[in-house]
Amino acid sequence: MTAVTARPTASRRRFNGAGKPWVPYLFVAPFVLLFLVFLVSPIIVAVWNSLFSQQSSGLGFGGTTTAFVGLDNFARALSDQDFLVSFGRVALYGLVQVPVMMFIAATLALLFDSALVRGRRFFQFAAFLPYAVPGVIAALLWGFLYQPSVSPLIQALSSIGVDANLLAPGTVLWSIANVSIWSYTGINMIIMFAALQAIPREIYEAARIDGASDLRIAVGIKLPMIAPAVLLTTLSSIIGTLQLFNEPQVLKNVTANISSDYTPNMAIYAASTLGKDPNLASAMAVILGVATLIVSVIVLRLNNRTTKRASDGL
Amino acid sequence: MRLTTRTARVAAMALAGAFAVTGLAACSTSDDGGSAAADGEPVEIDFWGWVPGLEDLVAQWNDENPDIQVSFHRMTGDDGQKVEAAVDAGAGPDLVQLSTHNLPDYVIAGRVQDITEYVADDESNYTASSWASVSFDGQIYGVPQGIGPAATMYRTDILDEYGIEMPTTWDEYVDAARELHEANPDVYIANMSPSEIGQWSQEIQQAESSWYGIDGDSWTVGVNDAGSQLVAERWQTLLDEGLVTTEQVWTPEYWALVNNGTIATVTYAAWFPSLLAENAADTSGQWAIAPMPKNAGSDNSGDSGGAAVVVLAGAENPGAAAEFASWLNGSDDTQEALITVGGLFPSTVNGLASEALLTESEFYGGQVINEVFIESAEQTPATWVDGPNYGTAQTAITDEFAKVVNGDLTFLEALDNAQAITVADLEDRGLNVSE
Amino acid sequence: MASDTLSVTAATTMPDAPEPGAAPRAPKPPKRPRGATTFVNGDRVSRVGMVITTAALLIPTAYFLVPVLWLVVASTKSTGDLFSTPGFAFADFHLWDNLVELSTYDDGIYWRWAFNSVIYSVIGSALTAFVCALTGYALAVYRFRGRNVLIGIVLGSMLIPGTVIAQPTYVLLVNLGLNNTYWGILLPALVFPFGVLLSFIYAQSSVPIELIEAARLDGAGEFRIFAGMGLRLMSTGLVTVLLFAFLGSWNSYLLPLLVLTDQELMPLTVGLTGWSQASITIPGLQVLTVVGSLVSVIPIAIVFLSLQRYWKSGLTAGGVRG
Repeated sequence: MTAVTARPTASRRRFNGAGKPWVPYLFVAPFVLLFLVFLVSPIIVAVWNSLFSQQSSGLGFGGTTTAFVGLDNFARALSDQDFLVSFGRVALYGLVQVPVMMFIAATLALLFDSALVRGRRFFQFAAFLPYAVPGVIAALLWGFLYQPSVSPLIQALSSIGVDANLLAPGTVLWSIANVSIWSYTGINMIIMFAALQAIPREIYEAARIDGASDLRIAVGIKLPMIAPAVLLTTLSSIIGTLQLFNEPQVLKNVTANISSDYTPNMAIYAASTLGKDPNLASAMAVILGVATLIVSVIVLRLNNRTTKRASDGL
Repeated sequence: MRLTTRTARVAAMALAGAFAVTGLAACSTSDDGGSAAADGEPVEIDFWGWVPGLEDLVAQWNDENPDIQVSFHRMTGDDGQKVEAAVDAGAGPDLVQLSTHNLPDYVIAGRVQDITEYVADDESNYTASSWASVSFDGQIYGVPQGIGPAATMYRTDILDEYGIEMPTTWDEYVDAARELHEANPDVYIANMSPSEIGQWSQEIQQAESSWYGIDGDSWTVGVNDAGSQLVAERWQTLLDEGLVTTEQVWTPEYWALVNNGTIATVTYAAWFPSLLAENAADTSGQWAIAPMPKNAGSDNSGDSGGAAVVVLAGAENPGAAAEFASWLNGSDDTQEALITVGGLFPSTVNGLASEALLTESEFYGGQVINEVFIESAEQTPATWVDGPNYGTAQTAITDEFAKVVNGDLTFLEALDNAQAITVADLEDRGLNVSE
Repeated sequence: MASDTLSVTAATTMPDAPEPGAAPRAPKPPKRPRGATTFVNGDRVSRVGMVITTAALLIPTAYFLVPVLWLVVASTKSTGDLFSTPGFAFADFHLWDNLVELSTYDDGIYWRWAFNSVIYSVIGSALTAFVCALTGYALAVYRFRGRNVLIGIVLGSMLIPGTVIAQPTYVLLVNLGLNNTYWGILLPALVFPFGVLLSFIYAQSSVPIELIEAARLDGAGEFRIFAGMGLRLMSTGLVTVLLFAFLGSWNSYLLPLLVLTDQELMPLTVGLTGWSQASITIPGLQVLTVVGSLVSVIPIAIVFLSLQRYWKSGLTAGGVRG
């Protein structure tokens, strides 16, 4: 572990800008400006919007007025049972999908790093290829493979006596998870693999002399050494889970078992476009953002030691 | 998520100003289409629509009307939702094709313009029900473009094979479903798609019901009214006895079932036969069209809804836009193309009189299929009223129906839930709702 | 490993060299191979283990490739055969016809979409990498008031759900007059906090302050030092940023969907999804969607293959220290 963090920082005196104090600001200006315009201001607008509501009266043909309603939209969103259920659904999904994907990705990365594999470039390419298929297209593709009358997979299963319904209420969540695992395992594998490749080989040699097996070295030394990479990929997978949208939205076209508010993000989209209540949708989006933040902080806390080390590196 | 409040727009403008100071916005100055006609300059109209063949009609108009030049954008899938975001942000087109179910919402939200002064004279060329679908509070908000009278497409070969007559009433239909499925367990009389709301609402209309009504200064909601309950009980029986498939229409799975003869009949709107012919080309000659089955003691037929071309809020030349819409939907020049290329069932008097309507169809065994749809349109009761939160009602119903198909709810329970959701949503908007 | 891609100067920082104290024992020369083992990169490997592992890898590989194989097979079919013949069996070979149809449908709009995707991805990722490099470099090299706040903001903003701001961003773009323009897609994509973080980490480890000070003594301006030396020293890290930004733009769907109305400006994701949705009424589009998806994967596959050698070094920064 020490190997990853210890850096000869002492010798790095940094320019404090004396003489030309504006130089560093000039360097960061483009990013900061774009950041303010395209990230901060939309967030402010979303939060602002969530505090208002469009109100009509009578039959409504007299037009609408915009009224300040405080936290009413938040109260409505939080009392919408289907919206809350959608959080539970993605939590269940994430508890299964993220570990499974991380396990496959880490196993593949360790195998590729272990020199046990011939034709490594081909296998890595195969694992990466799904990531090259844009998410919406991947969902379309799997959509074909999930429909019994047109799917070669289901027909193959059926010929060996397995009657699979991949779009049933109980299975469709895992069919969505499969699309995500298929799409994103490769990129996570690559990030972990790259981290593994950066570890000096000599470290393993020492362990090997002590008689440690390959498996032991992989689990006991390699994995802990790439803990920050694992954390990074896990965290972004969790964030991705909470924001699940494209895959279920596309698969919704082939099954009624994905409701319009199946995931929090879909519920937001439905409130905005089908329910035509953008203010409510803003409140729901803010709730989702806060939830994402909370989950992320919890995950980071759980990995406190690792993060500390990672931030030492900063 | 859509931004509609004026304050927010002002905030965004302020930011835009800040942005412009940096000079980065220099590349971004462009005027929206539809600017006022200066002398000699043609008026430009942006038009979004989805009917096949509109490109050619727009080109024809542009040739004949140098003063009003229309540019056309073909809408696909998600574009419907994009229109609203665009209008609210002030970047919408001038004219858009819209399902009339959504029109009340557009009127209430101020997304469409009142075009009464430009199109009032057109009324005599439109069927009464289609004209009513664009009229609110005595004002006209669009030009009708096609309606969706229903009929039943059925597989003559399959019904003949099992000696079953095409049923004329729903009672006979349920009996035929049983007979057919008993004769061959792999054949089902119909598909009940929980998400295909048009197939549901056409039977609601046939039963002389409506999701919405107006009672003085209040809306009424009838998602679970007596007519809906009648339809619900029929499909509950078919579902409980396993006599129907439950696939989503428009999926490869559905078309596979149609092509391989698993599904024997499809009851849907007048625009459906041409899609059926496209998607099941190999079954040509094996289909015929009959009036949709009737309820006991009634000749009523149903309709799943029509469309209209509306002038959106941002249009700077509503007169020119309305003039084009009026020509597109009502002119003698366009009726044949709209019917043959567009696949529309006309809501116009001259369209209904068009010879193009009465051509024989090879796919349907040489039948003049529109004779059935013309009769259907005549037998459709004018009871349906569109209301302000059609999107919410539709979503609630389809989400609840998915649970029915899975056996978690009955249709009646699903309708009660959807009714409650629809009413609550109307009240949240501050609208009057009476029981 | 990185040294083969880094310049000689950069190698003085020894990014991948063993850290002091990291390997307490000096590496011993490997033992001689015995019968059943071989050496790969200094690791002792059992031949049997290698065969078994490589064979076992065929299972996940099949999982990753089978849907792509379906895509390939489906691309060779006519519309009629697409759903009426077995998915993994070739029917009448229509690949060429399909490609011709793909290229000519709607005046070849597909290639216009492909061109747009390339514009958004190539120009977008180059600009993004530049903005990230500027920011990361400044954070690593300078000490200035607000630096820590900026680092905190960059870290925190990685957690913000993109969809939360999609709609307000759209309205903002309309007010800036950027909706339905290339810039409307390019500018918002430039905000890439993860890329800033990667650049920052990489600049810290690969830009030695001594070199900068030496350059300053030679009278070079700050920007020239950055452009002439910093960028070069950070190049491998920036390749990573470039790759992520490229893939992000290539796969981007929601914002282009909202922002663009002009077919001529759409990227492949939006265009192909539109075709798929329109195939309800135009069945022939089903097969074009399939062929179009297949063709769209090819450039990314090429990008991947050509960048494969960079993973060892480039992605390392984010991986080990992120």
